[in-house]
Amino acid sequence: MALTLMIVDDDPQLIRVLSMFFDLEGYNVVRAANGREALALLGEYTPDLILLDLMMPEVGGEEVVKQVRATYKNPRIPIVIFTAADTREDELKAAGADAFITKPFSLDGLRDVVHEAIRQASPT
Amino acid sequence: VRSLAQDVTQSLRRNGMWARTVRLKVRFEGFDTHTFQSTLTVATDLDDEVLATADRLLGEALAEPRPVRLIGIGAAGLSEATQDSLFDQERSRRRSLDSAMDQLRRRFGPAAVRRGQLAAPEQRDFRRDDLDTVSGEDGLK
Repeated sequence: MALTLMIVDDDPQLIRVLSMFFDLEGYNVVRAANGREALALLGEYTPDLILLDLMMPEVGGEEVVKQVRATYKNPRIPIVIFTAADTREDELKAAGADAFITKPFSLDGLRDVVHEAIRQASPT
Repeated sequence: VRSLAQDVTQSLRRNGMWARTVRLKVRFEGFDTHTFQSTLTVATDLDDEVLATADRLLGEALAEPRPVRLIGIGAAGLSEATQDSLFDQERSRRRSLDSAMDQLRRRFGPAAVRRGQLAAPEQRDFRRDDLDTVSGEDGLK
């Protein structure tokens, strides 16, 4: 069965590219245009991974990480964050993020990060 | 090489063209210049097809490691883009992805989003050096 990926980003062009890419890679893709929408959708879907932009209006990526970790403990959903080079990765990791990818990025590099985060989260 | 190949595919798409042949020009030390080329079974403007071909040609060119002064990628055997076969919808989806990536790059710059595992930008400073003869008369550069 195809894995489900939730992509959360407020940039419509970027989320379109990411959705098309991961759809071609065989994932079911659920799109959320901001953090608030992502948290609402998590009531309906349990994705195998959340790909999350950090900088979003209203509910930002950091808040989404905190709420996901507080609410969805089993199964634990891996979270990969898009970051700028100067992001406080240590703090975000402490808050519950699993991996980071720095913008600008390569789609193939992002796919590898996503695969690895899902692999690490899978029971052995 | 992947970055250069992506410039070529982007140029093909911008001009509404497909290419049958991918060419790699390598100038080694001593200005010893070689051209490697591969003709595809189907004409293309797709990133992943041209990048994979360019990768393979580079492997041939560097089969025996030598210092390299210049690398260029070109396309030849050009034809006007047409519609994909109804039986090959995946190619249409990949083309839609490439076009969506082109739009992002126009907005944020050429490095905004890429295919392949690319070198850091500072490792690509040689780009655009003396590529005039890479593609031949009917190619793009």
